[in-house]
Amino acid sequence: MASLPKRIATSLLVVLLSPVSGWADNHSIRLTDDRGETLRLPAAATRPAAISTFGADVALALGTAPVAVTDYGLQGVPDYLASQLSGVRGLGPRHQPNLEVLSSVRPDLVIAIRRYTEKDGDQIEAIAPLLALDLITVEDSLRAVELAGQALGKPAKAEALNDRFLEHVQSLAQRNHGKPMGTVALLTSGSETPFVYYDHFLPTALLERLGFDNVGGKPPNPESGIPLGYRISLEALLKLNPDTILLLPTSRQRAFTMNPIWPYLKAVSTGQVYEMPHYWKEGAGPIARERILDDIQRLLLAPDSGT
Amino acid sequence: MTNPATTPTRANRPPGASPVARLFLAGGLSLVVVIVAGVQLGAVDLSWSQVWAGLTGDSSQHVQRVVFELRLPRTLTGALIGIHFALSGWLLQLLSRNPLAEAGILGISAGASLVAVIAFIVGDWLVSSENPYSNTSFALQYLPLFAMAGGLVTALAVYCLGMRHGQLSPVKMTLTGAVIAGMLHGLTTGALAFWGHAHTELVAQWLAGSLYGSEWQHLHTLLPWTLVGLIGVVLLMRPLNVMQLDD
Amino acid sequence: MIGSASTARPSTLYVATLLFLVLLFLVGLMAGSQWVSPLQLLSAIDGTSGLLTRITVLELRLPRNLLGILGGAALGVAGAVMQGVTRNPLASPGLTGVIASAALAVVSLRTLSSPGAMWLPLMALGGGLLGGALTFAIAGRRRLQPERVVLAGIAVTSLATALTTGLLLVSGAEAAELYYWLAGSLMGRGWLQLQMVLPWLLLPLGALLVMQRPFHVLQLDDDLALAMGLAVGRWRLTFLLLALLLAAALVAFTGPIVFIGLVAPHIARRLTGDQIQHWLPLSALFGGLLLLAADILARQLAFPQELPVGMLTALIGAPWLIYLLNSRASTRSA
Repeated sequence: MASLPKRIATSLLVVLLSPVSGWADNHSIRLTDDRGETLRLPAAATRPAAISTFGADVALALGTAPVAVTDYGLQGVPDYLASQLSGVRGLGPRHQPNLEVLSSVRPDLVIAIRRYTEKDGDQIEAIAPLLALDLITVEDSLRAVELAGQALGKPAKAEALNDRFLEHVQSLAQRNHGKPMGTVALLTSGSETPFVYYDHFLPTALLERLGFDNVGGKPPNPESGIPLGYRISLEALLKLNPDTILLLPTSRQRAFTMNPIWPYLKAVSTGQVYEMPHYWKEGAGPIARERILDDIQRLLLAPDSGT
Repeated sequence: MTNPATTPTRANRPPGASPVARLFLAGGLSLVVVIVAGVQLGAVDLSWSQVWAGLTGDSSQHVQRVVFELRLPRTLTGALIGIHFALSGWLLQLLSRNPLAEAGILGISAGASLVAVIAFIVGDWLVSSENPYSNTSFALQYLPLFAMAGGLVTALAVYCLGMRHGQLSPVKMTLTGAVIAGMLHGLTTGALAFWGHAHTELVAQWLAGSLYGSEWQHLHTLLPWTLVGLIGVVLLMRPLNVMQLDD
Repeated sequence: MIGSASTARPSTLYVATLLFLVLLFLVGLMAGSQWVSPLQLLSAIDGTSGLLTRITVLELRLPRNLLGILGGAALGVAGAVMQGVTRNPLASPGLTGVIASAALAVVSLRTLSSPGAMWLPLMALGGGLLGGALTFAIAGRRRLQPERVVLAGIAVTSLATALTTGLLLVSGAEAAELYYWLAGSLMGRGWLQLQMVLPWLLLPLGALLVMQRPFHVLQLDDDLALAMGLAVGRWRLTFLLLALLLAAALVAFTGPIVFIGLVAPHIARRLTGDQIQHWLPLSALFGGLLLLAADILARQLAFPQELPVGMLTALIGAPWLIYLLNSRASTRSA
């Protein structure tokens, strides 16, 4: 170790030089997003734009209001955030955000869902640094919140959100004392054949952690996260016969519920079919994922719910 | 006004007023108007002076970006692509002796679409490697190339199958193109429905055809092909004229 | 007329086809995500099997197979009728823009509102009518030229497809399932769907059965038909409307399934030669056979998932058609 005078000299040098070297060492933020691209932010972002609900969710959870948000076309912005997003500029659908509007709100960060914005990466980056994130699994969500926290200059708060979430999961899991909770299927779509999600999708992954067995099964492509699930024929669903069926919202009457097979399913005949709110579809945000856990707790872990 | 008794001949026609010239003038003016409109109008309201400032580089970064990076390249690319399709349709109508012909006839669009959808799907599977950072969707980078290859292969197949007794039969070519296009479209929709769940919005946008996200780079990539095509057309003018007569 | 060396005797044909149909039907009852053996099949029918097997066979596969046969028959007949009355061997619901327009109508209705299932066939019919009319209008004065009609049909199909894609873009994240529907499938179609579509298919089929004589006359030269006392224009319109109804109604419930309306009549014609009185019934049988076979393949090829059946018919139909086009080398528009 260097002698004391030398150490003092070095510290003084660093302190004196830091204004000269600019914010580079003390204030700039370097991040690597899920594309493998490195973002350099001169300072913590205060005007984030969100392409995909996650961006709005995490910004609001960390106390920074977003300046622009994408929506779901005819359905608008999801209800659970709508009241906090009144007056925020709309960008259009998440796969085709309006770049002119994005430019006009002068954001200093864009938090986006990777698989839809990758193709326009260059153009978005010309407006503001782009944090493109995978938002499919639980790990994706944890990492995304951490990265967003760093970008927004609130890393400690983000870490706290993650910790609280994991504790919440843990405490719910322990409530069951490890006993199996039965089988469950997460279905979406309003057509004659439902779409069932694999195990890695955030809501189903949470269910698995809490002792449920998702009949969707393991994804064939664990590293990529895509596809999210598959179309399941009613025959196959009948064979799997889950104890509980959770339905994601759809704008139309679900034709598969009118099929004569439907009443024969165990979940249907025992009344264990539930409609879940919209944030189950895009649950990676801190607010959304807590609500998902609350829903699971309320509906499926109630003390007297039979399996 | 012209004297009804006088038949207009080359000799006594007023200069510069031939119908063809008028058409060119009108067309050219319309094109200019549309391009100007394309730069002036958009999601963000800009005044004329702002637009001008954006073009000359004398404005805020936002206006500069909107006018010069977003609207101008998109408008010009749109115009260029329109030229491509129009010329290609014209050539095909000549070749197939059919006023209803266009690029879709040879199954080009269908072939390109199928290859594009496959590229997306295969891209997902290929790129799921151990290193999550190598996940740049390679499908997107090479999409134009793949699509072009798909279109060309299909067109070639249709052309070959459209031969009758060693010579190209326009009728047979057209019908074969329609059938192959139908088959490829069925395959495309099937593949998309079956494997494309996570990308549906993206692929739907591509399949529908969109100028969203056009930038200068696209224009630069496209321009050489335009020139090649135009030169080709000029060189082939005489043979084309001959072809218009019966075989 | 395409010279067919193998003009079989009608009775042989009927028996063979029906046998094959019955065989496929049985296979269809056994095939699926869970193979049901013949013994289990018997026990399902007489009620001694487990609940799962009974439901699978009686509630899922039985109506699905029936829909496949009936729907295929409808498409086959629709194609034969169109080919017969327009004297155009390339006329079919798919190539004249009818199917695409019917699909557009259904997609519009489903995107813009939540309709009761009863409205779907009507919407599809309306759409199909518009599409068909547009095709013949575009074909113009040369509408008796087969190629001209097909080309006009392609134009109308492109238009309908473009509009459909536009609607899918608007519907945003719901597009995935509409795309699945657009690929054409019999998945999940049970007794409910069969009941709803049955009148729309049986009535026109019955009507066509009764109207066989005018149909045969119409296939001859127009002047000849007039001389025989037939109101050519009116009958032609009636037949086309019936064909349209058959195709559009099916589209409303299964999504667009192409090529069957084109291929089945061709096979039937090859085998019946100039015994045209058997053409319609055999087109129906072959249509049913083809669609049922395609559906069974759709269930098995990508086990345990199901392929959309429209994809398979496109795969099977197209090469067949190209072969047909090539063998038409010496005979043009027969």
